[in-house]
Amino acid sequence: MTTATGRASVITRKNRLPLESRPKRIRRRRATEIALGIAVPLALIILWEVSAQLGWINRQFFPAPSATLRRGWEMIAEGRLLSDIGVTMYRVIVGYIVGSVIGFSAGIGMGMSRMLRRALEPMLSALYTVPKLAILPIFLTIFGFSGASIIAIVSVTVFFYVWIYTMEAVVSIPNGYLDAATSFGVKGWTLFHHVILPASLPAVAVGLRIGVGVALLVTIASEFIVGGSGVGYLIFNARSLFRLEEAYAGIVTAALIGVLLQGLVTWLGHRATPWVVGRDSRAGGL
Amino acid sequence: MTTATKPRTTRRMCGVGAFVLMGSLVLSACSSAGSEGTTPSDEPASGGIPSGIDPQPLAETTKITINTAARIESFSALFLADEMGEFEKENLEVEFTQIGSADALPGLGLDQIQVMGAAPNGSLFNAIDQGLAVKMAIPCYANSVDRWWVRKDKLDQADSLKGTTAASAVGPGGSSILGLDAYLQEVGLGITDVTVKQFPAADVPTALIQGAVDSAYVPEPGARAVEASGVAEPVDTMPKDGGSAQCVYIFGPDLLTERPEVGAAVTRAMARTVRDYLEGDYKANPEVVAALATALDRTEDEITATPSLEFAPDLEFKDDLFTRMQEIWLEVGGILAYDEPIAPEDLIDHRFVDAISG
Repeated sequence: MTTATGRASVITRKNRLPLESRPKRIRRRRATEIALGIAVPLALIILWEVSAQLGWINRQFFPAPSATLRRGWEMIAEGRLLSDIGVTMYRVIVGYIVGSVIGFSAGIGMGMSRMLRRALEPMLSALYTVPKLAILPIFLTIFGFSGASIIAIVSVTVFFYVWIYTMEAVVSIPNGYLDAATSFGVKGWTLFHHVILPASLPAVAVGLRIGVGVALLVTIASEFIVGGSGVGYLIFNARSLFRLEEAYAGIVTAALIGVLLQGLVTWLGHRATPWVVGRDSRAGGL
Repeated sequence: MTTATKPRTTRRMCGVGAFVLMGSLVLSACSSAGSEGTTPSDEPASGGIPSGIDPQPLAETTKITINTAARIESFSALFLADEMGEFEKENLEVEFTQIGSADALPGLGLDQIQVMGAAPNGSLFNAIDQGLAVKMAIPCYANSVDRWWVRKDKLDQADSLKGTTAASAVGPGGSSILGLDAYLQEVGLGITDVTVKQFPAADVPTALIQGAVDSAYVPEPGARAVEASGVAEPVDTMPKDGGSAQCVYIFGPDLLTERPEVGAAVTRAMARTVRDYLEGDYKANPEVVAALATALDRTEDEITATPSLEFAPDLEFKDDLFTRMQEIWLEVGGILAYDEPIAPEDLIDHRFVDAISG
């Protein structure tokens, strides 16, 4: 209804919910977002396939996705791909867990203790910048020419990411939280359990999510160097033998493993921090 | 509708379209480097290959690119030819690149590189089988000094070596497998009785010394460390005069088909280098040692620390070794992407070495 009083005009509207928050529109938006997430990579894959079939790109060096998929299926039937996936997943998961536990513990300790932070942070910051693959030969000497050296280097790499995010999260806890807890006489384990851990967990979850991606990256790269098994070795060996369809099958496999692990860690992070509502989850979104 | 805005469906289509456009731009960039490799015709494109070893300068200065994975003594004829001006005598200007063989092979097929020095391995054979227009044209040397080494407690004992692991920087797809196969046959075993595993090159001697493996192919100078440790002995089972099966110069379609006269010029320059500087015990000649040290970017002590390789100016190929190599790889499995050995004439272009002696 519109009314006009003198020179000013007032526009009134019926009292209704903002357009963005209607449940139906929210569901439609989410469906569109999911469809885009699938459609865009699918469109690129189709474009690649068409390009290879029509000779726009050299199939000798850029095999068509269908050829890669076919070769990947053959490798599964031969039992090779699944065993390599199992080996790589084992190294990633074990290295990730070890590195995360130690990194989290170090981050909490150094975040809560100024003295410990002053003592260890300069040294750890220097070590953080050393390329981990450059020190792989040292791990080979210590742990031998086996998967143990790969797990060790993955642990070391993940440690730094989780340590940094955890320590910074603890240091960044607002003083008001700690002052309020202190005023109630809360200290020790209770302080950690009810104040420090909930306040720092969202940032720690981000660090863990980045850590799992890095763990996979370092595992694949290490398997390039320490041969014999794993998806990384499969890619390296296939490239070395000019069996490019196998190499691409390995690359796709590595990407899918990354998506799976990242999704799992992200989901666990959301479950562990239910009080954190992201912009995507908020009613209405942007 | 409040302000003038595009309908939502149009905005969505624009977004999807932008992504597809980006993807097609990326792929069209790939296609600019992805032109189909040329297929060698049966006849050379221009004038055949002139015979003889003496310099026959090309009509105009010709620039070519030659790739090796490293500046090592296996490629002494190549780098010494450049150092001694033999390429200049042919009116050739050579640019050297240093890229791993697996990465350089596509470049050779696409004429980004004209010559590649490498050990024949599974990737070369698979590439030729898949239609890449490359062929082996010149052997690097006649005989290498590199050997397989076996731990003393396993030496000449068939049962103790069965089921063990052998180390090689290239893995089972390397040409050194010829020597391992010959040794295993001597002790009554077959190639499938041991597992050949790929190790980082610098770690192969360590793996053998520490006992992580029971046998290993250890090139110089790593073999000195194994010898000093006293834990292993070399076995002399690499094929006699089989250097052509261990290291070759591979020509791409440019020199095989389009400009064979340039390939002939490269071959003449290297043959003269072998004849004039690398015959016999060339490391006993201080001038050659000095030139080699400069050419390979080493010290003279490093050059004289290892024995002379054996070069022969006739640059002969041993065709049967390439068939045997493929048979071994087919027996091991997982290396070659085909089932029957490729005939030597499809792997090797003899015209260039034949022209030297013609």
